[in-house]
Formats: sequence, C-alpha cells, structure tokens
Amino acid sequence: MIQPSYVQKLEVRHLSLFVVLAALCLGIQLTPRPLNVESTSLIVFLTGAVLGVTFGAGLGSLVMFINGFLSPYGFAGLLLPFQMIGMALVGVGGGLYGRSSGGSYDSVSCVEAAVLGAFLTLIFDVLTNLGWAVPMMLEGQPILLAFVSVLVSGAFPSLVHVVSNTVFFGAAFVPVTSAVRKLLGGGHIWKKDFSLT
Amino acid sequence: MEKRLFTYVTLALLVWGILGTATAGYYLTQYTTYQNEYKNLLGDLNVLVSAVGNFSDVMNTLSLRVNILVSCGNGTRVWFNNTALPIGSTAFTAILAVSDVRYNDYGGTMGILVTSINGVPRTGDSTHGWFYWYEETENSTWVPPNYSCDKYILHRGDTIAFSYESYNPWPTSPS
Repeated sequence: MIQPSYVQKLEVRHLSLFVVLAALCLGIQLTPRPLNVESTSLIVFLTGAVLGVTFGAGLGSLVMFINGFLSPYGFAGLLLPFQMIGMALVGVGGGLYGRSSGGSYDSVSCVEAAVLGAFLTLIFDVLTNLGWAVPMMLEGQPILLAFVSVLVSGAFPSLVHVVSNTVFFGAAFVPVTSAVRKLLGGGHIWKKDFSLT
Repeated sequence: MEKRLFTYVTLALLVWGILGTATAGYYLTQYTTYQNEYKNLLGDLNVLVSAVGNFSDVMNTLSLRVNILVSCGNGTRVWFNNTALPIGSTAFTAILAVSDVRYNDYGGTMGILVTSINGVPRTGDSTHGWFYWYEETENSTWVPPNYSCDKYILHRGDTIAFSYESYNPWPTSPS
C-alpha cells in the first residue's frame, strides 16, 4: 500500500521502548519516595534525546496525565494540565539537546545535562506553582501576588527537586542514554538471522 | 564552543538566581512571621506584667516549683529542691530536667517507662527497675501511682521520688 508522504515510518522497537519507559515512569511516580525526588524527568529527557522531540513530549504528558489520576496524593485537578505541559517541555528539551549534540556525548555532556536538568526542573516547578496559584486567582487574589506567594512558599521543595535532578541528570544521563542507544542499536540485535550455516 | 559554554553558564546562573530569590523570599516570610509572633508575645507579656505587678510574679504564675529525689538504690540519694518547671509539667519532664534519662515510650495509655537514670543500670537488669512516687503532704507518706510517670501532672510544691528498686519484694517507698 502506498502511504502518503506525511505519514512517518514508526519503528516497532521505538514504540516498544516508549511503552516500557512509560510503564517505568508510572511505576516510579506511584512508588512511595521522598517528596520531589523523582527520576521521571530524567527518563522523559533521555527519551526525547534518543527517540526525538515527539516521543519525549508524548511520554512526559502521558505519564503526568495518568499520574494525575492515580497519584497517592490524590487527583491533581487544576494542576494536571500544568504538570503535563511541564513534563512535555522536559521531553522537548531532551529532544532538542539530542538533536544539537548529534547523538554523541562526552564528559562535558554530563555537565550540560546537569545544567539542563536543573533548568527544565525549575521550568516544571514554576509551571506547577502557577497551577497551584490558579485557585487563589479564581478566589480573587491578584495574579502576581498569588503566583509569587506560591513560588516563595514552595521554594524549599523546589530546591530539593532541582538539586536532586541536577545530580540525577549529571550522573545518569550519559551512561543510560548510551545503554539505551546500544539496545536500540543495529538491526543485528533485533532481526533473526535466517542465513544457512 | 564558546557560545555553547555561554549558554550553559547563563542557564545555570538563571536557575541559581530564581531558586536563590525564591529561597530568600521564603526565609524573609518566615522571619517576618516569627518577628510578628515575637512582638505579639512580648505585648501579651507586658500586659500580664502590668496586670500582675512585676516580672518575677509573672514567672511564678507561669511556673511551679517541686522537689525531686533521685535514689540510685546503692545509698546514693540526690535531692533537687525548688526545681522550677513550666506549668503542666509531669513527673517525667521533671526527671528529664534534672537527670540524664533513658526511656521506652509505649504510647497511648501505657505511656513512658524510665529504664535508666544517670547511667543506672549500666547493663540490662531483670530484677530491678526505676519506680516513682509522690509524697502525700497531709501525712508525709509516699504514694506509688499506678500509671506512667508522663501521666502524673505536677502541682505546686509537690515532692516526687525516682528510685531504683528490686521487684522482689515490691517496694513501698524509695530507699
């Protein structure tokens, strides 16, 4: 069958990896752990770096969408779209970083990943804080005051989140990405060899 | 390469700046909150001082004085007379205030069991334990309460004793 040019070829191994990573992220999100210490951001970022912007953003928003309903902290409510957008941006960041680096990483990449991890985590936190501020705005509080008060009162959890993710990204991004690339690697890993011996 | 370096340094500084500002804001609000609480407390204290007379009278209304005996069972008896404690103190907080205490907290109605005072006993001892009494002022007799020492609320002028005794025979007063 002839496919139209805009339909991209979707590799089964990419889709398989996406589904496995989505399950892993959800497992991590729903597991009891210290507040704001998570590795979902790292997995979403490296998915973006390995599989591209669409997969990264898709994984981030999908995981946060499901987490919004199943989280042990209860239904996310108004926070849900902000969390989805925030985590999607982490995936987009990973995709852009993977594209700019051309898929080759060295020791400098660890520092770059750590800085990007801190930056994207901060963006995620600022967005979710905006989500926390929305009910206050709806109650009639000035927008800026509501946002700043939420940002200030959530400073310490944000600090924990940013510092832990900086460490995770710096220490794990390059080795895990290399491992995932090897797993996805050449066709010889995935295809059966039917040649006669 | 330089542009890349500049980008990452800028991003790192941006994160530092935003987080630092938010954290400083957090501590500023904490500072303001506690300063206001301190001012309110000081205002209340001044009202109390003006109503009661002087500061030492106020402190007397807010605290109580008790006598505490610690007997280690080997003839060592130490009195802590006129020990000032906050109102609402218990026999347990009293002994905590004057000694180095180890204890087990069984929670609920069971409460706290004192296991060691000032290092006595040094090792576990199944034949002896720490008992406590309060003195009935009318007839000067020691009364052993049948509940934990953290449940016994102290009154002004109370005399209590903690004593290390053998379980057999069951002690009737501190040694």
